[in-house]
Amino acid sequence: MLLYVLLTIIFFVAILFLESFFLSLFGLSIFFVLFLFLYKKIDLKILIAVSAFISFFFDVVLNLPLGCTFLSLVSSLFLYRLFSLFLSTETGFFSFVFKMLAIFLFYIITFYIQRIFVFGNLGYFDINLFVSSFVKAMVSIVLLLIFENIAQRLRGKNNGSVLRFK
Amino acid sequence: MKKNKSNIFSNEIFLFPIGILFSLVFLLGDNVGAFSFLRKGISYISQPIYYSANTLSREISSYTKAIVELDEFKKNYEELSLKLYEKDVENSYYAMLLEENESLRKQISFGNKDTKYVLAKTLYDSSVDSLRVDQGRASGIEIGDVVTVGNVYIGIVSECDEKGSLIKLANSKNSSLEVTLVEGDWQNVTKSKDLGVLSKAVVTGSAEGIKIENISNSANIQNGSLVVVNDSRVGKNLVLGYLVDISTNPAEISRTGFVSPIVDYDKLITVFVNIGY
Repeated sequence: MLLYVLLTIIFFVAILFLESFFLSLFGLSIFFVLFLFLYKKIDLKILIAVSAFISFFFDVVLNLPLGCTFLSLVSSLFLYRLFSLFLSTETGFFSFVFKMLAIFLFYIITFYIQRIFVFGNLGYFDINLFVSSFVKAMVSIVLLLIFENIAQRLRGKNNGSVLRFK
Repeated sequence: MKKNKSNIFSNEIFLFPIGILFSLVFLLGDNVGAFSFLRKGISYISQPIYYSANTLSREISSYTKAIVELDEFKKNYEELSLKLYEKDVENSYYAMLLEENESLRKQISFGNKDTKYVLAKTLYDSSVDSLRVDQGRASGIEIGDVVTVGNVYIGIVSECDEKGSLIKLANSKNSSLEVTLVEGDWQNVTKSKDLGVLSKAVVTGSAEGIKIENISNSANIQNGSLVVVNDSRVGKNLVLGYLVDISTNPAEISRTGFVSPIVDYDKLITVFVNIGY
């Protein structure tokens, strides 16, 4: 029990540190990549609850209104869930295409939600936002691939899409 | 028959609108300041972690930027080096102006309004017992003219042409002058001042330096006494240097020693040639 508590604290600090680090270095959000990685691998209720909790911490350090990051997260995931109605989002080439699209939309939605709730307007249209979001999505998908590969090696090929905490 | 308990949360599609509603509640609540207590608590835990991560990323970013812009740094370094050399050259020019200013001040403070002087700049000469200057007959300089800086004796013009002159210094082998030994500070010596003479002597140039001879045995002379030129061919009360290495042999009729010049002849830039004596 103590081990779980300790691991939880370490995981939480690590996530906070890594997200802050990559956000200020590359403008990249590791949190959403991890979120997508864990989607369908663990219970969605637990995932959303933990994500909500962690996203409040990000909102505070980034001086955003509470709920901004979580709203972007849920909105992007909802769109990703919609894509899954049309094509498989778990296996095959299109799974990564949809995941990349979800990450791309996450950055766009995050930008506009922040603009609305912080400045009260949508700002001006800038093509650089879309280009940078696309590049970040591509880098994120590479990271996601790496996570998936590591998970596969740890769990074996048969049950590579499921994680169980013993 | 088993009853299937199902609630709204068992269907994951409902989690999305609930999640959105949840976040909207917090957004609106935070806007009115209802969750400020939560902010403070969260900030207390997360701000140090965020700060450390941010600092680390900024350091890595600046280090990476330095490596990427190495070419730019190299170019800037070369430009700055060039500017530094240019500043050195400018500085040397101003240093020369400063030296000239100080020499002029010394010359003016000497206070001799009856005599005419020509300001001359020294030129490089490898010889240790002579100086070349950039003024010659065109400026009114002639052979035998005395060269000084303020009240300090430098030498005599030994050769002269239209554009330049050669000055024989006091340490030249051909140089011979009548001097007097006095006490006091060299800066207080002026033409009109009556100095308390300790002894008369003669200085000659040699390979070892400026030799002083014929110092009276009875005179109360010691190392550090001022040597002042008092020669009818050269002038009166022109400081040469300090007495050093005085001989202590009681059997000698007269004492000898060496003169340490006041000025460093190698560092002279500006001199004044007396064309009116």
